[in-house]
Amino acid sequence: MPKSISKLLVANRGEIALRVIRTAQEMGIATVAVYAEQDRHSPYVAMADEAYLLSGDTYADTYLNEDLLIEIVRRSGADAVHPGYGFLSEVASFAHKVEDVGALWVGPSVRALNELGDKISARRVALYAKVPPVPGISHSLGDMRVLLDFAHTHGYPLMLKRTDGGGGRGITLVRTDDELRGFYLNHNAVQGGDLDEYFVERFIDHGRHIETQCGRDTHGNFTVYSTRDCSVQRRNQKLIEEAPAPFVPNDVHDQLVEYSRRLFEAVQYVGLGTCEFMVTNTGKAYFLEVNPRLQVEHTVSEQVCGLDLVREQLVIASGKTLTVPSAPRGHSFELRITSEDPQKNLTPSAGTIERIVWPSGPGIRVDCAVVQGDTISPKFDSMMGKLIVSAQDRATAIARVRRALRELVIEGIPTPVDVYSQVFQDDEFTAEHGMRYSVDTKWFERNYLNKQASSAIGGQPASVAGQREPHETSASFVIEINNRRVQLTIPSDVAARFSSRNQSHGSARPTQPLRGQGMHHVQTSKHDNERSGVIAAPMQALVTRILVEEGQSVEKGDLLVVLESMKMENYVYAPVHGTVTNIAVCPATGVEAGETMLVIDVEHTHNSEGEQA
Amino acid sequence: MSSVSTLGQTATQAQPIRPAIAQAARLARDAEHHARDRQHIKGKLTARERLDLLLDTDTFEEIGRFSGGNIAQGNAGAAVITGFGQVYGRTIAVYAQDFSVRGGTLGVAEGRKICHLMDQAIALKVPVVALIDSGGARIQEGVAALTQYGKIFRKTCEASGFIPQLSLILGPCAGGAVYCPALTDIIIMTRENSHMFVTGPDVIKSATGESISMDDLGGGTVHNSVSGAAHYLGVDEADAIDYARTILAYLPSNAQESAPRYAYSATRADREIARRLATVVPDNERQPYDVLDVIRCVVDYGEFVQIHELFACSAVVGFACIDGRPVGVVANQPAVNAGGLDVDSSEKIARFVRLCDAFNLPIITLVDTPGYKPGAQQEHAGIIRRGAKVIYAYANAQVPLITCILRKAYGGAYIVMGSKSIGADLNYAWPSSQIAVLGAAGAVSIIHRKDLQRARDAGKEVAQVRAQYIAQYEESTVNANLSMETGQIDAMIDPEQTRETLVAGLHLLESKHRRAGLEKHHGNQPL
Repeated sequence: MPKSISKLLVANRGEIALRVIRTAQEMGIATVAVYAEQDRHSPYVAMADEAYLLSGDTYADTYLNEDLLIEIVRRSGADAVHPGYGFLSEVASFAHKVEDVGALWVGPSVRALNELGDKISARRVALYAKVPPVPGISHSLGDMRVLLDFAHTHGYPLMLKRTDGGGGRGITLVRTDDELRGFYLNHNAVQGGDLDEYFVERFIDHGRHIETQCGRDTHGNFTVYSTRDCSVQRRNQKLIEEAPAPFVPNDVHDQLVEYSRRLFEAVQYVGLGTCEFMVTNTGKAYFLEVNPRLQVEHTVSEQVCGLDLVREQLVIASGKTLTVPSAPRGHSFELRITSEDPQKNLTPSAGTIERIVWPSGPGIRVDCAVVQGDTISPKFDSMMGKLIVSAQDRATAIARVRRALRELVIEGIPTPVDVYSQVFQDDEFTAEHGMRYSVDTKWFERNYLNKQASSAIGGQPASVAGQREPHETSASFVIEINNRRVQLTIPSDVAARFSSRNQSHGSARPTQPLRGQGMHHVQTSKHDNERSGVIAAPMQALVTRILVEEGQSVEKGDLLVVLESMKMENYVYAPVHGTVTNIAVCPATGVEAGETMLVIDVEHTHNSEGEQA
Repeated sequence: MSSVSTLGQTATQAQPIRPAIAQAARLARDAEHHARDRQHIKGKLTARERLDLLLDTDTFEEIGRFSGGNIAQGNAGAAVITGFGQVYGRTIAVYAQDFSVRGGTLGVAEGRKICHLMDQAIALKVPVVALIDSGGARIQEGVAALTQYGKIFRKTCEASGFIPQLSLILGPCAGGAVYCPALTDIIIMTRENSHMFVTGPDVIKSATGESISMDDLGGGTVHNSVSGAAHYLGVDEADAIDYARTILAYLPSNAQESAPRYAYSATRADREIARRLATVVPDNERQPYDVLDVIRCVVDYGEFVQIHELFACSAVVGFACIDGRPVGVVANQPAVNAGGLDVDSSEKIARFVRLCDAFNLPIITLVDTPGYKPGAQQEHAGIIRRGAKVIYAYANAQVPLITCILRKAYGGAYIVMGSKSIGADLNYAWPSSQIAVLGAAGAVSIIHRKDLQRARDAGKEVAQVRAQYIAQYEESTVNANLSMETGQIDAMIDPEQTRETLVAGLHLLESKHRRAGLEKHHGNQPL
């Protein structure tokens, strides 16, 4: 039965949280954001109707803290939870907890999450639905002989994947018996090995990564919003995605749609999801996995199907009928803008965004959550934003991407933009000048990442070793000659001579390199306590005594609770004058750091002005 | 510009390449291909890829590419790459052991290359970074290989304190080889594939019967959190190398220079952040707080690069900038064991203070300690001998020393943590400071022992009398006034003033000079 959503909690951060909040606002649904300390001033927090702090330093304490999030669902009165992608989006236990508190889970059911969640059971589902997975061993490994037998039956190369991997982590490629033995020895139990957490698959050479963006509602209606090609990858992580998947024969397309329908029906899937396939150059499609969530690259499907997929998620979750899209219109590319250095084989690097200018104009969409001055740390997330470019057909879209990349300026941090420019000039990718489109999942690594270390040319004449190109050491100025605008480029040493007089005042000092560990917005829990009256445990400890009762009036500085941790007593005092309204703990129980112990109703000593700011 | 290159081409016909030269180039190329095959499968980078990550783009100048090799016989050279490059625009010397060449083992050729590089680094007065990934001494070369370690040890000691020396353990480092990094200033390890031990699991198994995995014996996690041998645990190689680059950014190239000064312009946000200091430290002396919050409110951009982050956590040490000047920060951590000093945190502080003093970094000390950690375990672990190292380090430090007392400063621990009496230049205290020989409760038990006994005999409520004495003692003694009167504290400052006070103090002490000491060979520091 249809159930309307009136208040939506977004259990995520950054660009995707912003994405969900935008749609909710358009639909007139109130939004609740959650944020960790470092995100306090993020745009998505400001944009939500309400926002709650998740105190703690690590993701485990904050965005992955299921109980704390459930507590906020209760406190805020949200009647639905959107998990975004990553974090808790595929965690069945969290979905379960959300349903337990009576809120709507915007995502597939707990059953579907369980059956599709890990790759081994997903393969089982595929076999049951008569969708062929890539040849492999579905059950966990353990015996070297089984591995060798498999290798000799299906041939090398093989991919060894961790069952809980994803996003490029935990995948090892082996090409020979020796490498397989090496892998076996490295992961065998002698070293506290984790071999039984791996499964093996035949590696498809020259395969394309094509996926279908699917939706299925509670009434059993199924649709494919669009196909996508995500073959431009590095280290199994997507860089450039496009919709619809180009150069796919009709019969292959129809087969992918049919496979997707069978997979969704096999687990009674309700919601939006993606079926990923590996398609060989002979047109054979193998099932890879189902992603039971919205994906980073959902944007390109939105561009070509003309629908808002987050809206679709909310519509389906509230029990209504999904919108059947018309045939895909036009073509769309998504470029992930990450802080990765193309000079160093796209190794993630840290830095501060000194200047950022996104392109604009027709057909351009930018989904991002960073601003100038932000420090990017690969420890958290190296993706700064997504550039989505659409046009009426692929060739026009390619031309538009070239234009957009010329407009894009990011300074202070390395980005793969230069490599993208090369890719969009590469005839193998663009299929221009009579070339056939010949991109597969290893194409990008083969052509753009397989760079030999530049230090490998030491000790040899440049003419033999080649490679090292002279540095661009020039500066450009705009001048007018006879009122005609001219760009003048001169060697930088000459340029320095002109401008040196202006630079003498210490401006030549370099800037401090930042690792992004700093927190600009340190705020103490004490300060928070004072404002909200929520008394949280300062550490993980055992409650030994509670000295107040509900309804009792306390003065600032009164002892409230005694905790014991590391054989040291720790006392928690009232930070403000007020009345104890709720005590959430009892003696002899353990509390986690940040857990709410009791709540004080702060009396009129504080005026409520400015508290919402 | 194109006109320049065309000029060069038209001048003469390009010289022909001799086949022998082409052969060498082919060898070099094959060696790197081989290295990639060998290393990537293990989830490791090749030595040259690591150099690319460490150095600014295209700044590597290799020394002795083919040295120790035999080009005609297809041997491209020794199992170590040596050379110079730049990190954030400043020159460093670097050697990288290449595991794909004979397991990265050290023989005569490798030892000579490394020693030669270190000689040059000393002559040029630039830091040395070692990227270590080696199976140890080359057994085939026997004792001749071992003696090379002795030479490297001696060179490392010679360079110690003159140029910064960093070691990254990116593979195995076992046996006597561990002392190459052990003698350097900073050791960086990674979560996986990084091991250091003097005797390996096999030897231990056969000698004592104890069975232990490589990771549990000498992995990155163990050495960072338990033994304290390593100073940073990288998530992966790229992170470890990035940390090394960061550390170099705070250090001068050698002991005769000062650290680079960075541009910093104060913003309005700074004042806002400084204001937060007013609420960071709880009034209640028993309530812990995270001293990192204080440090981040005081330093530029809130950026504090910790050293030994996972070891002896009751003290924190690390680098930061204040108004663009790199400084070393030492602080007690009240959130861990109340910030008490123990054997490990004493050594952590002592070593860091020595590092800063060697390389002209001013030291900012933030004090909140209840004293030394009590217990037989600590006494027997050598708190006398090892605690003395902190005193030796501070008392001998000649760089600018500024100390600020945040809350508790009790007893001997107060005196060793950069007090004025031990040689600090400027000492400040926050108004909430409690400076005393010991806490009120303990003091009352001693001072008023007889009075309390008398009260007990008179049948009075002892607890009440005791409380009275405690209040009296706190009123009269446990505050900073006595220290102010004796000149041990220069000024009381509001927490919000801390940053500006430190900026002014650092500016004032900029011209502090080292004084020549007594005529002696060297001190005999507790080791």
